[in-house]
Amino acid sequence: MGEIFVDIYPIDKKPLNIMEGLNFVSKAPNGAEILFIGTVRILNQGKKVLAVSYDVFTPLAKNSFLQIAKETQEKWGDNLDIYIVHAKGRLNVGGISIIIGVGSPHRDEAYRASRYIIEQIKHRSPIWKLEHYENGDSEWSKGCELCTGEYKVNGQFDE
Amino acid sequence: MKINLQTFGPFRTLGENIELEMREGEKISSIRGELKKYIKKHHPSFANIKLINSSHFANESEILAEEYILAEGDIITIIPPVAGG
Repeated sequence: MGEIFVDIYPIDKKPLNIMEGLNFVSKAPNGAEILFIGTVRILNQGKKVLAVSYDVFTPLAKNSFLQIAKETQEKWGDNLDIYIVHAKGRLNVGGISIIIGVGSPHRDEAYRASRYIIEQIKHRSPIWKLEHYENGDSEWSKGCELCTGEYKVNGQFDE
Repeated sequence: MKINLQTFGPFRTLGENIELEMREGEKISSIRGELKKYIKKHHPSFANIKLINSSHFANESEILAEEYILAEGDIITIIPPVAGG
């Protein structure tokens, strides 16, 4: 049985750590470890971004991560090791907002699982971002209406 | 009866918690109407009032169904459109 780790890190106290994610999913039965790393990019819809503040409803966000991780194991194998950590607080451009790690005996399941997890989080986890622009304005990202069940994607990983 | 509404994201500017007066036996979906009245009264310049229509409601462990019946002292969180990742 694979292991699952989910958490929200307040970045002023605990910055996200790529090696922590990689170490969690690197285990002897696994021949494939995938890390997805989400970062703050400098341009959004033509506006120059300086930083993003992430607001998170922590208990429900962690619950949603756990539920998504369990679904992922149901779909692609209960031997998958899954690590999901999201940042809370203000991050400058280049800062890491999310790390998703998947460890699997084989690469196909690892790739599919990693993609599934990030797409589900984007539609189901209670997280919001306030973008801070070069001109001094700040604006909440429009986001997408919460999906109350599994988010269905017309893509090759949705089976 | 009073219920406590926690806010996140675009609703944060209304305050972290809003106390709403609701009638006993009302469904959670009726919070939308009460919240609109509250905003028009206390925050008339609030620009994101339309987001109420695309928001859901939750407690700390799950998203609540629209038919959920409110009870005195409930702590409910409003979940506007999300943007994680």
